[in-house]
Amino acid sequence: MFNIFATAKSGMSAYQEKLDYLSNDLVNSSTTGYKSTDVGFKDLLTESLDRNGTPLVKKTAISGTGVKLGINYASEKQGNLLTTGGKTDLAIDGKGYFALTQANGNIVYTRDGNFKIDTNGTLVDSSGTKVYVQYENGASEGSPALESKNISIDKQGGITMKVGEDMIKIGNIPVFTAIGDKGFIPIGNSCFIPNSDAQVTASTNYDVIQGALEASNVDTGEVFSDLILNQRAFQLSSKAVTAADDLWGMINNMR
Amino acid sequence: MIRGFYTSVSGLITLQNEQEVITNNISNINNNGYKKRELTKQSFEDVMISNRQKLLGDKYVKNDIGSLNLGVKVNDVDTVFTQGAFKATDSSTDFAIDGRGFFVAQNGNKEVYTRDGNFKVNQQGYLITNDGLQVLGINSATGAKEPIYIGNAKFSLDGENNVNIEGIGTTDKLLTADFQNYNSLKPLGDNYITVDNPIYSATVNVRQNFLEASNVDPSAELVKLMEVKRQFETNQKFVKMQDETVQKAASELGRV
Repeated sequence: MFNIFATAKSGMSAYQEKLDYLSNDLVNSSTTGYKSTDVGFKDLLTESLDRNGTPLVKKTAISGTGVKLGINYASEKQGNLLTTGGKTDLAIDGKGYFALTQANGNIVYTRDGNFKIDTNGTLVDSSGTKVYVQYENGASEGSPALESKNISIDKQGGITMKVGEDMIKIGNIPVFTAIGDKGFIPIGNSCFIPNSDAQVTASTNYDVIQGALEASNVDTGEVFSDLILNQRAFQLSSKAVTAADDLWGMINNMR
Repeated sequence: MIRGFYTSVSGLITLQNEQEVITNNISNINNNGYKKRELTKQSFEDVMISNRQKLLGDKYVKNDIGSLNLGVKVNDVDTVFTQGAFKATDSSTDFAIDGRGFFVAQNGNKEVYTRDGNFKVNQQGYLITNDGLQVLGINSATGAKEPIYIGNAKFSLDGENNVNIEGIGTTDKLLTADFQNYNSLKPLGDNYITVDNPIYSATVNVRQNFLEASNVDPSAELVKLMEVKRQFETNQKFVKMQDETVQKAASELGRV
């Protein structure tokens, strides 16, 4: 009797967690550079029905003990490119991530190319973290100070700026990638960190688009239908709990 | 008289087990590649019922009344291998099998089989199952069994299950297995099963960009749940009824 409750509860917990992932995707359906979560289910171990007091013909008969959530992966699907016209708005069309240098020197990665230029003339992301730029000889961070109206960024991420009448190449915004669906792990704030055994390399298969942002890759229609599907599965599992409770109630009422 | 108790209780126990199997199906209703299980029942062997109330001359003799079986028992739990519905996805590492067959993955030095084709690529570039086991293929050149290397490239699966990697060409054939007898498959949990003697040569229809949903039908399971509950109730009522009868026999008949 107890294991029926446990089995049904495992369903409720798994679908509850799945709903958590789905609602997180849904609220981020308009977050720039957001990658939706792909998470599946796994069945649990089986147990033999050959127990004391169970009349059984085939001693090999087994029953499962429920379900659990699988491992979550960030979907690598390309998001739509939204044209904004902003000179420092960048989107990656293809594989890879921009690198950001945090104040403590750590490197994090992001697909959110909603960049700005701070008071020192350096390229920063929307929360003020410096964008990792490989500067040309003669140029360095803040020298020359970037001006958003004068910069242009090519498809490889090369920054050129109009200084006086000359176009000067200032540097390059590199795009990094790693092999594998779990190569980069989301850590919040639209940032990713590489997995411990991931080999981060320069990406070759991308275009940087100036004046555009990459929309979230969440397909709201799909998330909604998944939401309904999992909510109903949750409901059905809770029905199984109620039914088990009814059964136990009847047992208790036998005398 | 009293044997009726045991008959009713055998029904209660069997129904409880049936409900366990149904509950497991319900829990796995959204689990990709899950195959529902069904509990089958069997009645106890018939026994001859007799009494000694027939008077022959001045003696009571044994009198056969007829045969009766004394309840129900669990026969077996069968896995029902019907096709689950296909769900289209936009991930090229999602696969579904149309018809018979299983994917083959490597767990340590053992092979495990699964219908759950929600595959991924790991940090080393190999195709893995959702929880990290390497998916096996057959090297197109050498014919050796090996993990399938995808790397960062796009790939597609042709009609013969060959993995065609963009810019490189066909490197491996996705390994699939079929079995003579599906009844002997042993579930391992985590959507894997195992059994000896896989048939690698059997034709298995694999579709890319699809996942196979579980074959559990929610309405059928819910109806079964209600059915079990009511049958349980009937059996429980019979236990109660017999208890009352026995009580009458014990306390009222004995009263002077």
